[in-house]
Amino acid sequence: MTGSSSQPSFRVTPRALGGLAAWGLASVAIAQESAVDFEQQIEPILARACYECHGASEQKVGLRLDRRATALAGSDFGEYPVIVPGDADASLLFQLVEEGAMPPSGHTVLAPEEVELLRRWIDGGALWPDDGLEASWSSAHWSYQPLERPSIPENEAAHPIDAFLSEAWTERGLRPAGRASRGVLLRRASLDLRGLPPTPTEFEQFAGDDAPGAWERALDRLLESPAYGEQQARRWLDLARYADSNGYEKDAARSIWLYRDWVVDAWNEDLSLDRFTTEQLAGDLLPEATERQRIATGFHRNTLTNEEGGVDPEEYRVAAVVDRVNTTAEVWLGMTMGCAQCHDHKYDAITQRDYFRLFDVFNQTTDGGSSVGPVLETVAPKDRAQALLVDRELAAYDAGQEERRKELEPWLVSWAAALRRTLERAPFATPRDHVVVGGTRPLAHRVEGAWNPRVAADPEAFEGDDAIVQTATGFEQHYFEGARVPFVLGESSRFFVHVWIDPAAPTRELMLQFHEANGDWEHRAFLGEDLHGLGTSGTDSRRRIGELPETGAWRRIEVDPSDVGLEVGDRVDGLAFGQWDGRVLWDHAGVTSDAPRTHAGVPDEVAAALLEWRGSLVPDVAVEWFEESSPHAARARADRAAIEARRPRPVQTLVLEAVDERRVTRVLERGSFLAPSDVVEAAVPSLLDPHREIDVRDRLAFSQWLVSPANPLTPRVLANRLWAWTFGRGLVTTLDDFGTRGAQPTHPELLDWLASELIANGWSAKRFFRLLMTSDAYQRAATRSAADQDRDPDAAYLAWFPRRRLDGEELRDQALGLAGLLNEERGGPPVYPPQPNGTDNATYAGNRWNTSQGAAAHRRALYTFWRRTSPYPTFAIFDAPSRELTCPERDRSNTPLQALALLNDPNFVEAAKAFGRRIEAEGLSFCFEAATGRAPEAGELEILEALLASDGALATAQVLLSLDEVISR
Amino acid sequence: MSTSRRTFLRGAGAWLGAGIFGSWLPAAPLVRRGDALPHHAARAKRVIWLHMAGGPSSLDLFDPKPRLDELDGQPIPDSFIANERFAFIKGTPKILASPYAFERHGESGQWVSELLPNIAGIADELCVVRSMHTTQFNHAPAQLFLNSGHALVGRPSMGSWLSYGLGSLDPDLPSFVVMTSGKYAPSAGAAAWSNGFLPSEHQGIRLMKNGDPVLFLSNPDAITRTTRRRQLDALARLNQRAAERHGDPETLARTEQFELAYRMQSRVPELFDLSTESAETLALYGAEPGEASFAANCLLARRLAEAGVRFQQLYDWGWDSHGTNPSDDIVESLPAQCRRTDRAAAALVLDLKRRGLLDDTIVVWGGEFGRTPMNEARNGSTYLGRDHHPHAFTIWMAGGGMKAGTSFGRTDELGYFIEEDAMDVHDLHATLLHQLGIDHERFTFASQGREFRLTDVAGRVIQPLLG
Repeated sequence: MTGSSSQPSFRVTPRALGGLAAWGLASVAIAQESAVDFEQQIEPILARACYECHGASEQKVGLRLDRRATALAGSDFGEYPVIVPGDADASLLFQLVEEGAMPPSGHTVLAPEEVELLRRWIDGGALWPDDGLEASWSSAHWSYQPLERPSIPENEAAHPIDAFLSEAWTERGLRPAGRASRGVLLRRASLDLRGLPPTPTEFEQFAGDDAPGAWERALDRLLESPAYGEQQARRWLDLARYADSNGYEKDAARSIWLYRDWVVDAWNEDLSLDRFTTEQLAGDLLPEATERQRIATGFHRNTLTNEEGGVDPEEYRVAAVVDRVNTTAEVWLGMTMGCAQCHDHKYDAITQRDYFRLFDVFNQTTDGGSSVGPVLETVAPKDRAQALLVDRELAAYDAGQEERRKELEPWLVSWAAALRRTLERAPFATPRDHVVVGGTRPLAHRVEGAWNPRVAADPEAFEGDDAIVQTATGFEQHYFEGARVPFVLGESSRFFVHVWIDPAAPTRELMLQFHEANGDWEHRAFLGEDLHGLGTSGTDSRRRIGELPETGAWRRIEVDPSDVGLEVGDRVDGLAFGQWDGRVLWDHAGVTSDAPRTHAGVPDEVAAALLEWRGSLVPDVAVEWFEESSPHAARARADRAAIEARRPRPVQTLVLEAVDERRVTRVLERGSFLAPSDVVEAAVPSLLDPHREIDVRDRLAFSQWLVSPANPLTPRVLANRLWAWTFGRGLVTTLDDFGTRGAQPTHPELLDWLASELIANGWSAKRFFRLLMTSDAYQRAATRSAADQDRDPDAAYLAWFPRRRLDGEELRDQALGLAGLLNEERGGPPVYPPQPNGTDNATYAGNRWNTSQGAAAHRRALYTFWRRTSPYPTFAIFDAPSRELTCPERDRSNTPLQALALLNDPNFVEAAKAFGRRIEAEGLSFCFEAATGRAPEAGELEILEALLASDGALATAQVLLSLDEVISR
Repeated sequence: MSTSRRTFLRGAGAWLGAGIFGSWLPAAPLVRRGDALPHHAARAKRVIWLHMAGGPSSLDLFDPKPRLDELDGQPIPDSFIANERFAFIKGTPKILASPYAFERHGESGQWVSELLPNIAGIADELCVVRSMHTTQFNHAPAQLFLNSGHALVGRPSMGSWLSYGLGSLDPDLPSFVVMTSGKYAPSAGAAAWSNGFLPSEHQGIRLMKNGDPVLFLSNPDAITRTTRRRQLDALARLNQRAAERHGDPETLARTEQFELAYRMQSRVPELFDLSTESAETLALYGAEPGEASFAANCLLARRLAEAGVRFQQLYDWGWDSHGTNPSDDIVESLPAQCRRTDRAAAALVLDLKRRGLLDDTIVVWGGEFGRTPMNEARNGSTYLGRDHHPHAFTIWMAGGGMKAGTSFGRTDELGYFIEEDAMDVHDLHATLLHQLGIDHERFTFASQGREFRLTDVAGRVIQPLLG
């Protein structure tokens, strides 16, 4: 492009300096005679001058020079390459050495010859012998070490978790808090496990259970509640970046809620987490994969698609695969691989090649970057019984029809013969109207729009008794396509329709549209103003053919097919009748036929078939026409259609599907899809498989490796995540980063013990939660002294129970639950609870926010339609992510917008009104206890009673629902 | 080439030497927190960004090209469009002259077309860059790139960076707000004001056109302000008791947020009540109290800037002049769009100036990309329009120490490519940050194991633009 040559030349992007990509090239082009021997000449200099600060024990500015791979990966200043093979001047190492800035004063001084040696070594390609194994830089970092089950510390603690935790308290001078009260405890576990508060009955049941094991029994009841699956699914869907829209500009709706319901079911059935992993990543590749296993692969179809004009689908396909690699690595491996997409990872020993080896695993599916498929179409679980019923009724009906048809056969032959004789005698005639539709619903595969019949008060129909009445504000249309007998355009064919425009409600535009059989709808003619916006003005897809006819009278409109891009011989099987504003009667529409014979009202195709018919078997097309046009057949068809109409609509869900022929994966330079280079093949990152022994050729093998004993990361990462869900904070606080830049575990042995325990318990999440929640740590009160708070401000050592503010979805579900409004119906298409006008960013893709009415507005938050470009405000204000990318952990901000939402968001106001009625009916104490899990103190009750007296039940209910104690657990 | 590399690295070495190698102390060498800001004396405190969403046509507004008149209707030479991808253009498109007359304005002699008479009237305040370019040619990615320095979702937008780094000038008000006008919100939706990996309190707060300007600002019907006060008092006392019991400091912080919300309930409606403005000011903007419009948004922006909001973005939808029908062409729609916005954009600059706010407020005007010198003629459309064009477009800035009355950069004779002084999105960000007292290379945040910057690994402060 001419533009780039005229760019200012002083502009140099640091990364353009070559960096690592140049390494391989440069090593080919070494000047042999000046070769410097690394081991003999360079390594001793580095060892003497650099290793002290940039060696095994310390890596200032993130630079480690005693290994090839880490030296190559550079420093924290990644954009300034430490060593650029072949260009000492561009290498930071040489720059700083030459200028005397390195080593720093007071440290080793390098002789000029040594500086010169370094220059020659780098200019000569910086040859650094490699043992051929990337394993040479396998990391000693804790998380990559094999998982071994530590022994439980021996101390007075009865529960293993407490045994691990209590060690640190003495050391840190922390005093453990006592046990929380029963009510508070039950509320805590109920919110963690179900995302809903306990019911009064549940409080009572637990309070009254004095037998040993009461707590375990309470936990089991919560774990068996179907709400458990909904709560855990909600958390998992942040990781899965589940949403009901495609993202980017158009952000149209997508249908993938069957995957969401699959996740709910998986948690409720306690599908072991290793199978949970395999089915989501590779369910389609399992032997004899079931429909449910294929639905599970929706996990990786939650990537964005871009449907804007002119996008290169490959660009967004690559972006989706990149997202799958990054998400998989973060969710299961605790690896932030995103960096390695463009260059070798600067901090963790992951090379760009490693990245694209993993990319190769996910590069083998058929979905595109700007299209919908592949989809799985099925009957929704709740509709299955109904679908079966319809099948059975239809079978019975058809069997009956077959009988009747047989009886008709002899009669049909004589009917056909008689008709043929009529046709043969039919006179030649001038073109006449062939009416395709006249005031009633047409017979066609697809009939849409409001085909409202004329009512008595209306003017007469153009012909007969029937006309179709259409009233519009903005644009409306009724149409059909797939007419059983398409009409073929002749030399002088004209489309026609008759309209009567209501003088009291005149229209601004009339639009006629034509559908080609096996073709498209891009043929439109309009009269009046250019408003409807479909197609392109001035072309076949939107042609103006004149002014609107006068109102209050039947008027005929004719369209020359050539004006809308149709020609002789084209077959048309659909018509649309559109209007902008007003009230219009439509009647008597079709095409003028220029066939030489009138055919006595018989369709051309039937006539042709009959005129050629010589045998005894009546032509199918004639039989079909007979069945369509005879009154008896019309009744039968209506009967059958009535049965069919009861069939539930099938639903679609996005799934993964493997390509037939494996794609070749190339390393993409700088991560750009336009710059492919070396071919690589599927493999796990070399630091986890130094000797290339693991075969992960496809997603199935890869997902099985993820949960195999060969991989120590997944059990650690999953155990840590479930721990964080329970205690509000991970033992490794960076849930998505177990690499060298991630946080160190606060309790490494406990983490490994938990990871081992997770595997030993058959990867059962329910057992794992039960293990965590039966610890004293989970059952402690949140009470701490100011001194202890200072010693451990993040509650990392769990001497007391760390409180957390509830998520937006939990807050809304809790409020609806306390108010008695919650609709506990599970599963199904997303719902649209109310949100302020103008908040929803419906794009030109349509699908506006059609606010759900009645109980549908009170479903659990999990079922709310999730639009990526405008997240639901009640949740977003409380830090819900947009779900464009995987979200390892939500923020827990504390903002004035949250205060406004709690007190003024109609969702919460409605709940507070109902909760206020409960206060009036059941008393303040009762409601206080329902919301907090404990009885109010006298002083608290006094404050609330005063408010109730001065400002009423709603005001008081709002305060109760906004208490820090209620919005936290 | 090697010399320039060398120069660059010496430049880099200068800060490395001072900041890192000189002291040798910091284990985490880059600035992580806003509290180390500013890096140098700031020329500006706030930014008002008028984002003309859709991509205004520079060739009809700021960048006159007489050559287009000569070649009008001719096919564009292949050399321009070989290997090009367009959003909608197919085949070899034909050159489209601008139907509008250009003149030089002010003492600085800035070129502005007849469509923008009011902006022409403030020519001497403007720092016009005719050599902006981007890498993206679809709306959503281009808007993301312009806001966050990255074309895919997931990075923080500039307003979030500033909220994180500089905070608000008034604790009662958000530091980053977004307003919209026109039929739709911008294509990228909420991603355009996303906090990315920054803490979520830094995401842009969208002020609503209708109803409460801040979501859920108004009390429900049954709750008076007196009742709300008593509610908050009860809430505070109950939270206080709870805090004393369990000792969690977060509980008291929560109470403070309820109090802040209460103050916002009186402050925000005051700020949004345009009826307190003089008739002269309302006329200057062309704003009507109580009526949502770009003009009202501009006037609000001045009021919010005055009150201390750090970063404001005003998205105006409707600049996507493809020419598929009269409502998106350059003959009917573009002039209408200009009439809707020209007066108010100029008024904002003038009003800030006469109130002494322009010195430390930067106003930016521009879209996410430019438009082609060729007629799009999608599906043979007979309406005149231009397709998306990433290679060259014009933006202008005013105030905040940007050099007034400047023209920077030059495009080729067709306005297709840049011929002189190219400026990309990262350069724009680096320059704006510089004026706000921030060195874009040292302003970072650690996420996913690495340090991120608004300017990624690029960006230059464009010195000639600085006054």
